[in-house]
Amino acid sequence: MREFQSEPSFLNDALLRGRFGDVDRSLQPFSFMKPKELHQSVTIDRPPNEVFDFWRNFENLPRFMKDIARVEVLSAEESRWIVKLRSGASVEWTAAITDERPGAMIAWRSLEGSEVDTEGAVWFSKAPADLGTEVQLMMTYRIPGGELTELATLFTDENPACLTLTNLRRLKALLETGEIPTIEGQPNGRDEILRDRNLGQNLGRHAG
Amino acid sequence: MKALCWEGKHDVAVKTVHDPDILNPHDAVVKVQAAAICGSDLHLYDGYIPSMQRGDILGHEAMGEVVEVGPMVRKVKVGDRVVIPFDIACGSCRYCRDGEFSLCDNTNPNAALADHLYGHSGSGLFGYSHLFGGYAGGQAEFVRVPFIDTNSLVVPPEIDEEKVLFLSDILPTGYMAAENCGIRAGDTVAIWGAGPVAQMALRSAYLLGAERVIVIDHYPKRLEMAEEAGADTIDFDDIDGIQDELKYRTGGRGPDACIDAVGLEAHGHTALALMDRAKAAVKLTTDRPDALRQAILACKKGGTVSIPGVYGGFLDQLPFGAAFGKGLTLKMGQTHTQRYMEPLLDHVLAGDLDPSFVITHRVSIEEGPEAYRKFAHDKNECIKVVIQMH
Repeated sequence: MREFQSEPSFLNDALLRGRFGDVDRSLQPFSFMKPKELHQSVTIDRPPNEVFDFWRNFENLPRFMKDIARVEVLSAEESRWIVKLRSGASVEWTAAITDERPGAMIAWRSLEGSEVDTEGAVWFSKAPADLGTEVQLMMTYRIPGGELTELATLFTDENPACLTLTNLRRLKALLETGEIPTIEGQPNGRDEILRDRNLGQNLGRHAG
Repeated sequence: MKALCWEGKHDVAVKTVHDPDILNPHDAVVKVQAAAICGSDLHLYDGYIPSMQRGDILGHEAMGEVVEVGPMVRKVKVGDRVVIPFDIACGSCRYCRDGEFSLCDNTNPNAALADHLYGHSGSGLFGYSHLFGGYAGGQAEFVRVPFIDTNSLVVPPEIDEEKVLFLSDILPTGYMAAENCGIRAGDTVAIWGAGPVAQMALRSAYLLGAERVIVIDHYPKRLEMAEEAGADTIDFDDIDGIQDELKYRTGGRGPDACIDAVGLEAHGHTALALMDRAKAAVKLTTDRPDALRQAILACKKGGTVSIPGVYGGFLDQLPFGAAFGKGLTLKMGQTHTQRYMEPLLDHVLAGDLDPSFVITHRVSIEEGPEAYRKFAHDKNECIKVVIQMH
């Protein structure tokens, strides 16, 4: 395993600065030609320790990360990540914690030779006044299929930067309200087709 | 159940769909008794909002009876008679705790989309496109209401539903528009548009102490309705210039506050498409009186322009120099409905406000599609439609 702090990378630089000042370049046209660097931030109305503890239990992560199907904690340092792709295939890798400051920061990196080469860090810092916690997530990654896959995701809603922000918003909603907003499963006029196939189990369930 | 579904431009249909379920622990299911069609529903009907999907259930003004609650619901009970606000708020985030419910952080599952367009996303809305969450609306026999403890007003069982239905949107919207004017004794308030929100705004303006309200429109029936509440009116078809007319009527000073209850809408799906839609919408307004431009130019120095009319995109030719030069205050945004429902219910119960006067048509759900057509094409006769769901 490479020594995380010894590499003068984009991420290390960002970690040393503690926050990002520039714009989200991944949203610009042709971003698939640039290195994959994601950084997003959200303010959660809970104390930093509470947010840190929730995140540090990696098995919680699939509760709000839409793309992560499962995280298996292997040891104090290593965990196995399983992502389901839209095609139905899944991608897995093992990540190791490279740095950790209780209540403040967690950094991780995939083991060398993994199918996915990724490193990331998440910071938890006290927000101004009584606003709670600023969560700042930074990641770099290379995914299977490389830039072609990246290009494909740009034509769907699952732009990686969007997805990262959506995941952080889901974390915020979960910790602030106890649930994640959804419309999955609500009725709409498209399901008349379902009724015709006699699959609409609860048609008129509230009637009478 | 039966529901009014958006099937495409100028196409609303009654469809049989499955009943809503409790999807989250703070949800409730409400059996809808009455729902109204809002002027802003016409923007969906006219196809201006591209993040609608065929089959989406319409409606954001509804009331009914709670028939099912989720395990985390604490206040509202099965059997309660409730009015449902059009905006969906979580009740826990900073914005909700500050009473800014329509700016809620946590109720739009498609917030990333709105982030791209506006920088930040407001709350989810019922029946108002996937940009605002894609929530199924209340023009249906049943509706799922997230965070029911925050998103409902329990009303007394004996009160006439037509007196409280509009607490869901147009009464709070008109009231907040008037409140945003910061009305002081002796003030004159001018209102662009004489539709349902304007009707509520003018009555609220008098309630808040305005000396005179001047309403501007060109539909005689709507102007008559404004006059019945004591407003002066201007039919803009009869005069050369609104600004000159308003100056003439206010001793050259201009109205102390101006309310734009017309608005214009341009929403979208991607940032680029939104930009295109916005440009199209701005072109559209060149064919009609530009209410916001007129309001800014007419308003007195140091006055307030209050904007309940909905804007979605980028505005061309806004006389910002005039707004700056006259030191105007501009106030706007979606209504924080939950903040106003209870105090306005008190006004209704006390008899100070009875918003039911605005209703011109009462229909069944089967007549819903025809009601949309009428509302879109006969704005003089058809001012407000209420649909009986049960």
